[in-house]
Amino acid sequence: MDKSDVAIEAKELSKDFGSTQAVKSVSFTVNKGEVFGFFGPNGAGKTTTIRLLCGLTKPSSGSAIVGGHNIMHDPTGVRRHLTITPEESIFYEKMKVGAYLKFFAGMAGHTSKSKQAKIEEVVKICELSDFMNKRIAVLSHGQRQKISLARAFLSDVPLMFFDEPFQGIDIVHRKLLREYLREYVKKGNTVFFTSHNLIEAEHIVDRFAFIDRGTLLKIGTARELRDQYLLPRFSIRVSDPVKAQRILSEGLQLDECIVKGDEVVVTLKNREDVSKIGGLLSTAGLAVLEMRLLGTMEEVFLKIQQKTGAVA
Amino acid sequence: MTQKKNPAVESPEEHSCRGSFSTNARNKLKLIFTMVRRDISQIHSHGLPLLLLLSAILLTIGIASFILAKSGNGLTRLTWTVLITAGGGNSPVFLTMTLLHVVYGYSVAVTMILVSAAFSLSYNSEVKKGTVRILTCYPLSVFEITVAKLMYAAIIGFIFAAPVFFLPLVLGLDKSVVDLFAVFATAYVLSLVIVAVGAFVANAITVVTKKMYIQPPVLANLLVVFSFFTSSTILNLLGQLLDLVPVFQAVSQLTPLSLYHQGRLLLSSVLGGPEFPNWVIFLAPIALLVLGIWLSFKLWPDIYERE
Repeated sequence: MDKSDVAIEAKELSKDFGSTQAVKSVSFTVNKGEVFGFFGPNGAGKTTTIRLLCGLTKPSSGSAIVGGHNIMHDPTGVRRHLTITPEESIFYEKMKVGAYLKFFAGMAGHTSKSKQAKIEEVVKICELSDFMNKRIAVLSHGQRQKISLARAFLSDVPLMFFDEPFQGIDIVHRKLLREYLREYVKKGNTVFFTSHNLIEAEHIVDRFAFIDRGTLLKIGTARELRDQYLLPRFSIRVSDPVKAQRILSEGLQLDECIVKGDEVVVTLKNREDVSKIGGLLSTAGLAVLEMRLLGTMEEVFLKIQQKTGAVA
Repeated sequence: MTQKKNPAVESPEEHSCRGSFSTNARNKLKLIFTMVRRDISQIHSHGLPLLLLLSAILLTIGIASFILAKSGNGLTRLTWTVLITAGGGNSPVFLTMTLLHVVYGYSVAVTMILVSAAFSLSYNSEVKKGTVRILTCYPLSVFEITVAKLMYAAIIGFIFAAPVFFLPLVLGLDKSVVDLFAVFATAYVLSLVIVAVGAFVANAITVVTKKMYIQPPVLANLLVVFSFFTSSTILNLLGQLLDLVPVFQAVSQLTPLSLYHQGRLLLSSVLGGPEFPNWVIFLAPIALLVLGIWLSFKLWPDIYERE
């Protein structure tokens, strides 16, 4: 990988708070043009890692290059190239949404000419047009979260950090925001994303990093991690699920095979057997109506935790 | 043979470095001005009622003081005698003051209260509510945030304290506008300098101790109070009023360190009076300011997290 393709390079980054090691010698790289997901339970070190990478907290040891700037030498300069949506957004409660966005458009470096156009753009993305004249104090949690995201989107920067960005946002709008972020990374920009919600994250994240108790456990794409940690599991909707269960149990080495309504859920012992499923069922005269790969990233994370002994 | 460099000619690296430095400085200034503009537009959330109340009280005291002082006709030379009756039914005590003591003392009181109040209210509302943490998401260091709050205090303090300058004119104190402006400006600038020294020294202490044991507004207020109460006029006045002259005379050892005291001596010399300031004392705040600013750059924004 060319150095110029790297957006973030963390080298043995550590942070201690007294006797507590919040982040333990974490090293990883994030490439330009990807959504990098950083996942773990509460207190795993996700937020501290973000704060270290954004030059907001001094590392106890190690370093990182973010947007070409060393966080140790130029912590303020690092933030010229990124925008952050913190987990807990604090607002100027008495300000109206319009004035708030105008202020932060100025903080994002927009001139009086470019400000209005940019505000209109983010207001459209975050669907805030109905709230522009309302004080932030009267808005709901979800609406406030949208304002927080709108504030971040005001910055024309190549790197966005999101700490639990979609908390409290409705399903329809989550989809729109995910699409916006997808467009953002398509242009070669980078998103660093943390969340507790791994199921939702699967829709947007290119590479997953799992952290627990300050230790980086694993990094990989969804496919790589599933292949490594989960047995192949499928839900197959067939014309006769009971017959399908018998055929598959006789023909393949299975870990589990159960019937659920008009579906048969099968867990294979060998990955190579995946290609044999269709053939076995069609030979037996069964029509395969639908076949879905099961196994979420949550299951992957739990497996990783078990294997690394991170769970006490 | 080594080629001697022409100091007037910049290398491309130097040019780009200088350009980048000036661009950075300009961008940071823009951010500071943006913050100051917001603070001014949102002054109602930075204790506006308190500032208005303080101004009203100070203005009332000022009107009373200047009406009394009207009997004098020289800013430094004419002795203006105030009869003060000490408590406890003792015999009356006479204090001798020039008109400069009154106008300057009042200007100091007003500027120190309003500038430090504006700084404290704005800084505290940002830090206590935690909104400063959103500001630190932008390319701002603790230095720029402190500067923005000081700028706000300078502007708001000036606006609210400005009537002090006009009051003697309106009340017909019959003094030169330039002289009165010099008195007001000295008091205002010194108040601002003391507040700035307090803010940056508090930051410096945080760098050394790694924890914000004393917040910038607290140290700023302490320094302002110290400088005011160690000035010779206030010590004399309090000594006489409280009948504790020996105690206040002992404290008066600190008087030369009072910037406000040195400010009065400076004005006295400028306005043709007999007294002169100790210039060395003016170097102390400058040195502290430079040290505080330098150390402020070493602070990480998480000091606001650990509040």
